[in-house]
Amino acid sequence: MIQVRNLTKSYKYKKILSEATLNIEGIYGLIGPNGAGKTTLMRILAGLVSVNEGEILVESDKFQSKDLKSVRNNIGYLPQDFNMYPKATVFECLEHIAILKGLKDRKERRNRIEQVLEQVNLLEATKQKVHKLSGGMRKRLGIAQVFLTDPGILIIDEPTAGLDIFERIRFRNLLREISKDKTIIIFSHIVEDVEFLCTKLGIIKEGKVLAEGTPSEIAQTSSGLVWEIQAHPDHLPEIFKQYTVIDIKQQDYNLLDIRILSEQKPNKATPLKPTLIDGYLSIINGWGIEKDEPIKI
Amino acid sequence: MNQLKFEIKNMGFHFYLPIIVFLFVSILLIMLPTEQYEIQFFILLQVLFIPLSAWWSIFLVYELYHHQAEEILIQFYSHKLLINYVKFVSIFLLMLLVTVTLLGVKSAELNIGELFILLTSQVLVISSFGLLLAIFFKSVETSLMAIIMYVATELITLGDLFPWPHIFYFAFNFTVEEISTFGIVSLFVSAAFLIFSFFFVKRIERHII
Repeated sequence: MIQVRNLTKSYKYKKILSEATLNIEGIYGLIGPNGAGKTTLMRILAGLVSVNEGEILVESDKFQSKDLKSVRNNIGYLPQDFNMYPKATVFECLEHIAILKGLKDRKERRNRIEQVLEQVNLLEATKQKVHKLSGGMRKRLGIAQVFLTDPGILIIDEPTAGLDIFERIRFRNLLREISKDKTIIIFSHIVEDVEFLCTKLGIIKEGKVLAEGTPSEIAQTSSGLVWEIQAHPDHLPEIFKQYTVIDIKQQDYNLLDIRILSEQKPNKATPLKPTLIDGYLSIINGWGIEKDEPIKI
Repeated sequence: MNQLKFEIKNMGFHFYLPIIVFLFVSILLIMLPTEQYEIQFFILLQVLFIPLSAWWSIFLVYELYHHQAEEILIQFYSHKLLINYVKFVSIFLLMLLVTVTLLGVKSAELNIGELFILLTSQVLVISSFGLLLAIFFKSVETSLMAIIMYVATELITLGDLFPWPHIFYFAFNFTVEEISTFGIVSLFVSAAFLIFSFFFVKRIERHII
């Protein structure tokens, strides 16, 4: 359990984070639009950036603004693009990072590398050069380098960005597998990813935490706001102007099923069961919530 | 040793450029009559060979800033960076010793010791300055450009025009005292550059947010 309390971060007189408070546990997903402050919060949690105010409590230990070193030791961090040492082989890359991370004993180090490669299913690629790996394999290599020191907390930025559908599923399954004994924090703007992976979510916008809860609880915040209407394709521009359109399905050549988000019931609309993306959009749009109060679910 | 081999492999072609220039300069020194081209050799060594000491130190941080490794390696890399810097500068100084010896042996008027102290001081200043620039700007290109601009401006103006420190000599008009002072000042300046590099490489917040 990681408790983030009233984190505030300003940079050049601009507030990037404003009193952000989160209770992180299990596989936690933090989602928000671009410029919401996700990257800054992620770097703070990874111990890469200091904060102006607030504190982070990991289990029972308290880490405050400038005490970064102690936070770092138990945290593994995988940025969006893992593209290090492209000319080296997978083994050489991991060995170099292991040395940098302080694994000095050669035998112990090599055993550990083999263990983590097996864990992420990359043993067959040991001698392959990093630049020849597919996007998914590079992600797994990224996870492998994190596991070298077996951290208790894993921070992953955009876990499936740039991956094809098979690699995406494989990587998601890997994260599910390793989440048994670790706290995993996922930062993403792909709602489907966090829906599949996360047991708890936080939604952030303009540096403020707007809501926190399980995916189904977040989805429920848009209860009564999700509708389906049927319309001719020619009416689409008008509908786009009036409503937030979430999804369009072609029913037949002249008819569309349009899923929309609206506070008012549109004419001839039928109510739908809300999904996470509906909840996310309604929270981001500020519907059904008090402006300055995060939703406590 | 394995780590050095890894860094060399990782630099790829970039590692070999200073060595190619070293071989080129050495062949010139061997083939051409030094008596006639003494001053030209002296200038060539300073403006062509010496600045390449910054090439290696700059490429030491290539991985950090050009392959998005900063966030992963930042916690572990600072100590290794200085050790790597020392390793690569030592290799460069060995090559410098060979070229200076060649020049000194072929020219009766030049003192190998004085020349080596002078050029070593220049190597230390340029290589550490290059490293600092690369870390500060988080860019290999920007720092290489800055070094090239400085060297080109110094060569074109023969170190006269601009009111900034001039580290090159374009005539044999230096005295032992001058070189000694230059050497001591260079040591302190290089140490300062390295301390700043060590300080900056651990800070991620410069241009990221």
